[in-house]
Amino acid sequence: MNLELHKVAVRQLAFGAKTGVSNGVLTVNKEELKALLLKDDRLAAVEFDLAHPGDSTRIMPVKDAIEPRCKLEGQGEVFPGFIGPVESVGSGKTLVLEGMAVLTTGRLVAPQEGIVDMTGPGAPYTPFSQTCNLVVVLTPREDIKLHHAEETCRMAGLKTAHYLASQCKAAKADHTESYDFPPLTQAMQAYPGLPKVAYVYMLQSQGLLHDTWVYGVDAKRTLPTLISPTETMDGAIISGNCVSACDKNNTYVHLNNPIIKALYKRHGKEINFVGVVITNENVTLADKQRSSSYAIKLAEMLGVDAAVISEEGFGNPDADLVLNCVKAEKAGIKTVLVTDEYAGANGASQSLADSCQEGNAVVTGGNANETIVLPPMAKVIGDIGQADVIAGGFFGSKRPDGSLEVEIQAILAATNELGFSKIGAYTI
Amino acid sequence: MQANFTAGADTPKQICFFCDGDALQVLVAARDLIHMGWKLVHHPLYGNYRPHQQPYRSILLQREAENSGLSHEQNPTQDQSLNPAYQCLAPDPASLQLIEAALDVYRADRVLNPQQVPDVMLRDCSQLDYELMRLPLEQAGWEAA
Repeated sequence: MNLELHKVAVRQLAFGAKTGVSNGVLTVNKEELKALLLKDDRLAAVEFDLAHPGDSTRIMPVKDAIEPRCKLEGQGEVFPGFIGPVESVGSGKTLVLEGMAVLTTGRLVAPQEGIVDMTGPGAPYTPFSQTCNLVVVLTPREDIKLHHAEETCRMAGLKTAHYLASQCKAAKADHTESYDFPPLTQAMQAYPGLPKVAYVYMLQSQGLLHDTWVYGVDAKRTLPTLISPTETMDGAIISGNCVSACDKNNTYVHLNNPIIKALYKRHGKEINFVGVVITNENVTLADKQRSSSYAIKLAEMLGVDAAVISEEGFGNPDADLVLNCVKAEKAGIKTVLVTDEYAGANGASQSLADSCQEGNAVVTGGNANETIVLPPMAKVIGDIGQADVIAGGFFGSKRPDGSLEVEIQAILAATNELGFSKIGAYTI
Repeated sequence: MQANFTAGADTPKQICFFCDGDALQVLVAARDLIHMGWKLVHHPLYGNYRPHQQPYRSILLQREAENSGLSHEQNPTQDQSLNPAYQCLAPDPASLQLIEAALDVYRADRVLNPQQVPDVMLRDCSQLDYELMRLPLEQAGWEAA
């Protein structure tokens, strides 16, 4: 499989009469977009707003972030099972509006996540302070069930992202990236002498507002399986995860998985990157045993020497991470784990709810318990009242002057467990 | 929320206990049941909620012995040695390890009591607790009504 990403740079957003991109400015016909989204009669209202890097703007609570994409050539359409048909994706050419994000906001439940500050001390904690953001403010009808409210908000984000990209198909790409994923027979013969490495990609799948979708299928209803990394770039994996902003993998992050990019970068030089295994994080102990055994069995069938294993979320998924690690190491597969920590405000407490001696190579996305005071912003998009009940906030976190005292858990992607972050630390 | 589930025809007898107090008390009660031979069906910690973010916690346990010695009227924390019908089973080590680890997490955090929570949030939290129990209940043979 080969996928070319044709990336069109977006440096500014504006509302106007015709949706399209020119000289880095994406113009959005919001009436046309509103009419498209309101075809879903489960929505009572839709509004749009814009936020650019450096603006004195706070967006909250953000549900999902999506990068606009659409197919230019090749089978299927992006976001298969939701926008595109249930055909395999990951080949051909895909247009990407780079430098911008669609952020969906609106009330589903309390507590709810997450915060994006476009300036100030909170901005460096979220990569979405560096993107031009089209914010879609969604109000589901009050008489619909929560499942339907979540679905309609999720779909509105995907529809918006696909609509924007589709209106820009004629635009010339500023640069193109190409990703190959050869058949396994070739992959196994390639680069003799280099260690074969797989990526075990854990997906949150606990229940409503804690779910992930693969080709339109609820990940909790699946066995672990193989997926081409190029399929993830076409939106085969969709986030329905609305809880714990700092370490959930929103759809934008699934499209731009930094672990996959890093494995590609080292492919053929330090390692032979031979495959991706997706697995779930179900709540029952039987599922945890079944999925970890099956995922590591797939890695064994690939004959890999090592695996990178990334977690999503925290709490009981820590048990899945440990099971995957122990089973891989016992099978002779060296592991590197990618997670984040809840180590207390002073960083001294145990970081994870579970641990194992085999987990001796771990990368952390940071300590979600770190607290931060976010000063007032000139403009708030969404509902600042949510700060009192946002995951990572606590009662009294909203101060009279409009500032917020929160743990960084409340900030979108602050401790992302795929390494999708602007803040890092280096050992010197 | 458990009233929305009905037991299938081949489902063994189910007993539901409500714990007064906070989620920590639910975990303590579950631990006591594990010492009486009950096993955890699911992990006792939520995924993505901390003790100060969710006032509720439901735990589903199963026990293989025919006669658990418990009834709807009995509190699971009562001394079961007084009940001649009670069949003592050895605790399941995996369940014991998981519940003790979960108790450590709850004891290290602020635990949210339902009485501290506004009504609008209580309703949402109870629904989410139910939703996160949906799969364990289904796998245990209960079906959503």
